Amino acid sequence: MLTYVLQRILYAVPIVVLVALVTFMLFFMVVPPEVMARRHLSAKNPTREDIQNWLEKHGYDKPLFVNLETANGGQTRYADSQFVRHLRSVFLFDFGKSDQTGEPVRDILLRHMGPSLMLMVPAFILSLFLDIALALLIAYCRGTYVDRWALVACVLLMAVPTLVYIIAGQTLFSLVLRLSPIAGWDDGLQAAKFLYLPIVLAILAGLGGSIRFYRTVMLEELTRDYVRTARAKGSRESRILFRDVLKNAMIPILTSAVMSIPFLFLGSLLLENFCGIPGLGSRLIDAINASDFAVIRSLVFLETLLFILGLVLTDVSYTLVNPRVRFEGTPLNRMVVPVLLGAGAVLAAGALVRTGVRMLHRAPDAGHLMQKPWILENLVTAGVLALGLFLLHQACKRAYWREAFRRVAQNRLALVALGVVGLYTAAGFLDSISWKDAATDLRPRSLLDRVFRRDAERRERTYSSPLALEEFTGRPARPLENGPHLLGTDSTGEDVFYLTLKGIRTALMIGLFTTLLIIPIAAGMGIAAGYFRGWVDDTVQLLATLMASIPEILLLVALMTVLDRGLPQLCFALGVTSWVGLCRLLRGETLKLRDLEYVQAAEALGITTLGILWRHVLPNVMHLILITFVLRFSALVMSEVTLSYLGIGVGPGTGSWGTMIDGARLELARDPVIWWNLASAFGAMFLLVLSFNYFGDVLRDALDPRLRER
Amino acid sequence: MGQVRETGPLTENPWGCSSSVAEGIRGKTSIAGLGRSCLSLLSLLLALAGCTNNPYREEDHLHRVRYSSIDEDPKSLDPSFAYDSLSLQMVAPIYDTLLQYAYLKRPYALEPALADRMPEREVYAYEGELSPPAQESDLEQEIGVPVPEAEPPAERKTVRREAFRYRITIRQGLRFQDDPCFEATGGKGREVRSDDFLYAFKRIADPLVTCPVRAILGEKVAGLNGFYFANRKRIQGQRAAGLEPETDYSIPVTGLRRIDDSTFEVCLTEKYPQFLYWLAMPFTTPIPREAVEHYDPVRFPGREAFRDHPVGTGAYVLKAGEYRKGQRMVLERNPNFREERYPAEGEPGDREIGLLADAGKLLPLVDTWVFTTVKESIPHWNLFRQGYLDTSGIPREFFDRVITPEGGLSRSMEEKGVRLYRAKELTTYYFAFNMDDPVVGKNVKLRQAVSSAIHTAEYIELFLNGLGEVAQSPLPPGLFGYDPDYRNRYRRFDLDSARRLLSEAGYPGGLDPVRGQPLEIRYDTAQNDPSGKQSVRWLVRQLEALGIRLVVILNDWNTQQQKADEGNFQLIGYGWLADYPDPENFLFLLHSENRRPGVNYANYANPEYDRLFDEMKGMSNQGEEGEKRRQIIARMVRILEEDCPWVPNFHPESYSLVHSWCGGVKLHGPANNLLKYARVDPERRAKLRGEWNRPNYPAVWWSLGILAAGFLPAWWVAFRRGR
Repeated sequence: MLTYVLQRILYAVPIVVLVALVTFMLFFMVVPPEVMARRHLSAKNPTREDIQNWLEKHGYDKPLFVNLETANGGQTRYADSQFVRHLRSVFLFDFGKSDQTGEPVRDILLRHMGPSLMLMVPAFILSLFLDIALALLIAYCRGTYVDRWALVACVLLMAVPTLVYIIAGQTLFSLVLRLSPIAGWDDGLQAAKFLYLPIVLAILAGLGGSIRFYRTVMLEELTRDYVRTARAKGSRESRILFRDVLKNAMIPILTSAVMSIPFLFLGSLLLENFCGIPGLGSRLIDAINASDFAVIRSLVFLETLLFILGLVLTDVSYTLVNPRVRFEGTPLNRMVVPVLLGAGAVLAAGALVRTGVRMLHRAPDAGHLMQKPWILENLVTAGVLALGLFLLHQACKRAYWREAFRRVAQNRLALVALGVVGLYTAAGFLDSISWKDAATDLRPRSLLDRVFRRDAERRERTYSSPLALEEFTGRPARPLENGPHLLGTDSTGEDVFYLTLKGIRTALMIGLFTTLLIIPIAAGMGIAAGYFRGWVDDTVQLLATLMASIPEILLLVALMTVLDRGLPQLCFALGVTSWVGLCRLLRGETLKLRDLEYVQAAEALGITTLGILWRHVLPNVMHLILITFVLRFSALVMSEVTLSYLGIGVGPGTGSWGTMIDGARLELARDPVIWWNLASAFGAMFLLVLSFNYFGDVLRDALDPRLRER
Repeated sequence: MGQVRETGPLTENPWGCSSSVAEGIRGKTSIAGLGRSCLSLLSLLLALAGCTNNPYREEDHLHRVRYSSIDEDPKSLDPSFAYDSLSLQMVAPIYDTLLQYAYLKRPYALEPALADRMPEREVYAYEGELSPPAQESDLEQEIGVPVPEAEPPAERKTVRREAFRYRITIRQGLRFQDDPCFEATGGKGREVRSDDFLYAFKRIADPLVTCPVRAILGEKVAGLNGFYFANRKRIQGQRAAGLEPETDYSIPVTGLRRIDDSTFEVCLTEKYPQFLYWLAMPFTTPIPREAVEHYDPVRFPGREAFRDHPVGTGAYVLKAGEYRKGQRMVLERNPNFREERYPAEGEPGDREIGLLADAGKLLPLVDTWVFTTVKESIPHWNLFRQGYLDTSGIPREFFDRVITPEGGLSRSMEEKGVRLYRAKELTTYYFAFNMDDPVVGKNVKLRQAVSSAIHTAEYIELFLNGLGEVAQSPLPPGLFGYDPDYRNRYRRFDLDSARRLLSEAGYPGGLDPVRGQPLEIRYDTAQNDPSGKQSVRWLVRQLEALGIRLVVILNDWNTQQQKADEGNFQLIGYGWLADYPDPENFLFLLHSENRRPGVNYANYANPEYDRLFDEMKGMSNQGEEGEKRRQIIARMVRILEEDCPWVPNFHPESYSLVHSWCGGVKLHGPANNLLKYARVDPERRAKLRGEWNRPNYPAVWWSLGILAAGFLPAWWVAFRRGR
């Protein structure tokens, strides 16, 4: 045990250094010191002299990595650089002072940690109980209409953006029922009255996803032999469920829950911002917005430590629930190669991003040279379409997939869902093929624009409600110029129905391209790690830990700022931040597979490693990849809303549901409320997510090897 | 990485089928048990909370308290550093200034506050260095920015010219607020002396303070920049030697002269009548040196910093222990505040709305101000509607129907007794063209066409509820030199003439003849919030009508600023909020001396304009000289109209929604110390709030019922299964 703890602590050291390196590089790429000075000097227009003075005062005038300047005394102090200062502050737990307010960062952390914990700990405990109870209930009712509708309800709960939960919850509890304050904070027990609404909202926001996950876990347990034995012996169904299944299902539930405990410290950004809770989540966003590097680096460091703590806790909880697993740390000698490789990967990624940015800066010129940039877009679209059709054709030829399709086809609702997804895809493709009719056209018009020409071109001056004949303002009712609109118009008078249609392409692209980016990376790394183990595994694990310890929001904001806004960049940033989960999943699965007889038999037969991976391992994890694709896809579509809230979503001019839903922040506060914008975007998103999820669930059943006998 | 196997959500349990492995989980094995524990926890929480939506403690309700909000913590409460509007709003009530704006008088006028009378001005012959010493220009060369070669270096050395000198006398018997830093008087606030003002002036030029207006005042006050650069050198030396840097306040400043305990003199380097306005800003407030030295966490670890612990002479003091960052700030009446009474005269109409009801009463009228941090606008608006915030200060896009076309209030608001107050702001929003850009910078017709195509009146109607005015020039209304009858030819929305101008510019129908595609103009903006996005989309539409494609580049704040400084843009949107009500504060934005990286982002340079500006800036607004000044300003505005380096967009109106218990309010552009004039009727507030926020129990039962009904089918199925 002691060796284990020691090894863990030593393991944390290179991770912390690497995370520090990444944070440092990202931050100074996004905010060069001079810009930071400009930001913190509140002058309307600081002079060069003032900036230089500020930099010297805060120590940001030093060179970034190595100090080669010779000081007055004649000796060169190589270590007198910013990175060394940064590392020193991290390792000595001396977080220094905030660049913005000059306050010690330690005080800031201590002050804001309490409120975050007071919100997150009760929410965590309560939601764990509630989720398990409801999942049990649903598992108990499996196969009935309750189960089916519960799935719909879960997807509904998942599809509602947190923003909407908060606004609706505050309206209901504070304005209608008048039971709880909208926002505010006080010390000690007085805080309770501010807390119970956010706690309820936090539980509600996570309810759908957790119940689905727990239900799956429990249903899996129900297929086990001991359940069959118990049934054969005549045990009551409820007894089996509550006594045997629940206990066994607790293993995956607990291990997934334990991992999230350390992150409770960091609180919840949206809830804290809207409910006036002075927590760390909202403080991190303030620090990012204010370019307060001292606070950011401390929070990132803290998160890294917490993440490693989470890993330890997971290990401990594994041994608690399963005595057959023993502690196993990483010996020091096995850390050298991974750390070197990890550092290399980080630097390479940095260089790659740099090059990418340079090329992007040149891209507009290339576009001008090409004169007709949309032609390339059309070609890409055609390529994607051809690839999709080819894959479909290939799949139809194989018995495994034909069987899966047959089983899916048995479920009529699944076919409807597939149809809906097909419609969305068709709309997305229609919107991706475009050309100009005349040179004076401002932009190429897509097929979709041409089909819905009427909606695309009918514009008003401002808001109008669905099917209304007049503008929606307090002015003396002014008739609409172009007649009623099915779903009304938005602030600039554009047809909401048309905007909703335009959002489809963006959503599909975010979902599709990001998952297409994730899957090869995650599959390659995960399978390699699981199959080869040893240093490959160590390196992959190190990289995964590294990625997981940097706050996702920070990484997204930084990447989007470095790369500039745009749809491809957004997909890239989302891909970078979200491959870890699938990678771990595949690693675990491959670890299991490589010990199975058929793999060993293949090895004995002398089949090449690549052949084994391609012919035997990959097909057996394919269902995992596919299901992850489905689930990730809807999560990504929904994540666009949060990105828009953070101000790093797609730019204006690109139709997007995220922008429309984020606009509700203004529109819901109007009197009377403008709801159709939110409702249309949300409805469209919900339909897509619901169909995708339902289809995904059916597909999972159809592909799961264990369920195939049925 | 530990070699513990992991189970993802979808993997099979790898440890086989034993049914008794879970040792750690006993107990909660039935739904009923789970439900019961959840319910008991919930009821405990509810009991703790007490059923009310009041965010304050009950006992606060009946005092003379005003509730307001801030959306983040002020950056700093150091009067020498605070410059953003939020920090100024909090600093101004705490730190009283020598002069202040008369609350009710319009046009804006100054009156003595800490000063006994208005400063006496005389002209003297200034002799000294014109520009800051060589260091600054060296630095610029190092960074690679060309130094304008306007004057030969020989002339830079010394100059001799007429300049102003102000003699300032302060009131007798002024005292600082009580604070533990006054050790000599046992915590009692000591008397204010002229040294405290001179210390504050020197503090502006203290390199360790990084005062945001150092560059301006350092040049205007004789010798202040000398003090700054001498200390800079000293501090650089101390840093190189590894010492804790320290500013030497004994270095003399030639332009600051102490006459006696209550009189001092400030000598300027030129004729700069606008100097008086600086005396109404917290930069020149008296600062007790004891406080700065006492609240120094470097020397006394564990102590608060001076920037978090203000010690001033104002109407309010920051309540000890009630500055909770991210949560709230509480200001309390300062018992040592000088005897100031509510003004007895105002503009016509002020009496009717009750603004003179308190005439002659001692200020401040309200004892305590509570500023709660509310970051998001929806909670903010709802808190106001519930009566928990006394005034609203939220974006104007919100009240679409709250404000009627006549600029009045909607019925739902009027029923609550809410009142609306409006005032023109001394602010100009504008779009600047990059005059160095080969497309927009060299083609005046193109700029004029773009300017004519932007229908700002519609923008104001649709997005600002008519609360604003189309800008014809950089000068906002209410400023000397603003001509209400002046109309800019290219600010009339006229698509036909815009199209004609565009053809003359060489882009018929918006078509770029070289590329054979519509002309593209890049527009850089940092407006990233929902309302900003709406207005950006509106702007895109305006230029589409001309056949021009506006390529919108959304930047974060840093990038935007950097691009503006580097000139890496074609069209950029900005706003300028006046420091003081003088046309000089707007027209200097286009002077060639302020070219990038200065505030003249357009890099506009017109020698005639510069000459007129230099002539105008030192002139008086009174009498014959005033008339001449007015004419010069009119000529400058016409030059801008023709050259069109900017599209002046609009001047916003500030407004405030106020609950009936707050009485009349008069909004003021440049002044920040208005808290002392505000009033409150606590009984009325308590009564109305109680009426509006009674818990709605029938609705509570209904919602619980609906929730329970949702679970019924599940219970029913479970029940049947169980049998």
